[in-house]
Amino acid sequence: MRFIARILVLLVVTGALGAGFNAVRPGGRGLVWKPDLTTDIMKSPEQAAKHEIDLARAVELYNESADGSSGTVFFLDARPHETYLEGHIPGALNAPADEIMNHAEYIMNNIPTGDDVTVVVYCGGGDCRDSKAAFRELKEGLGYTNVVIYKAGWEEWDDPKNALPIEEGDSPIFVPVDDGAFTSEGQE
Amino acid sequence: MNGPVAKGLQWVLRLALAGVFLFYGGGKVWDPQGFADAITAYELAPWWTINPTAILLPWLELVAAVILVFGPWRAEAATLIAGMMVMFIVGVSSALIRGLNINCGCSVSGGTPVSWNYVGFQTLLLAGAVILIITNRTKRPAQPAGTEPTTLEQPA
Repeated sequence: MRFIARILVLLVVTGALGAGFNAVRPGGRGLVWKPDLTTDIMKSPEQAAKHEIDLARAVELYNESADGSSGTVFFLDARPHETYLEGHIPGALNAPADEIMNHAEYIMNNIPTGDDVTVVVYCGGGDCRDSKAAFRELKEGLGYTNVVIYKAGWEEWDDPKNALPIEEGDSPIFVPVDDGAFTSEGQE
Repeated sequence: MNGPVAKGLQWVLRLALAGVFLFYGGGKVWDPQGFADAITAYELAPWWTINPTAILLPWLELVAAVILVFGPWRAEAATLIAGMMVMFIVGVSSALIRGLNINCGCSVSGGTPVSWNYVGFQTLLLAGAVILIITNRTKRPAQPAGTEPTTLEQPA
């Protein structure tokens, strides 16, 4: 009996440590999962689709971000930094999906939180998971309310037939693109 | 099992198991989301168990590892480790049988892809934990033959 009691004590201590650490840790998780945002978005295409946008909508939002008029639309590139340097959507902030919580201050300094702010996350395209992971981190970890996933991502944006602007190199500070902004007419 | 060689072997086992669990648990403590993703990929656990597991299991690994080295309740810690190993072996084997192409989720970076070799490694860890349970269970002082404790007779 003492053996089992000690195991129970260890389990209780572990529970207290884990829950306590999670409570004080920045970006700690809820002990109860929110399936609409977390498990299912990584697992279920149907759940993910509710938050996904296509190229046309991405371009609309890009124009809002690029003209800098609203200051309420921001792009976030969730790919690894090396890939981002090779080319990204102009003005997009880079925060690799698995490092978002490490860059929380950087992100929140450059992308304000608020119900009027929309964050567009993207990754390489296809079945890439980084944008979904970034979506969840932004929603659950940092408290952004309006986050959408540009599913086709960089693969589609960079396709020459779309003739969309791209930017190479580093972009450590988010600055809305104010010159040569892409316009809908520019697609033609 | 109390000779210097046996004690040395016990130390080796304790340090090896503790090292593995400190390494794996320590990384996952800092990345519960990554671990949650890894658990999700197994497609075994109900959704409502994923967050608590991702948050608490790494701490169980750490606590068990620390006690295995420093603590007085080593058999209990080894039991917890054995329980976790059984769970991990079932999970990885199940993923392999179902043909899932996933990482083991054993460390912060997601770990290595699941394989039967990895199951073999897990089985070795389980065997080590079982040996530590057997050798660390609190031993009652042996009673000399014929001197079994008897109940005191109550005065009439």
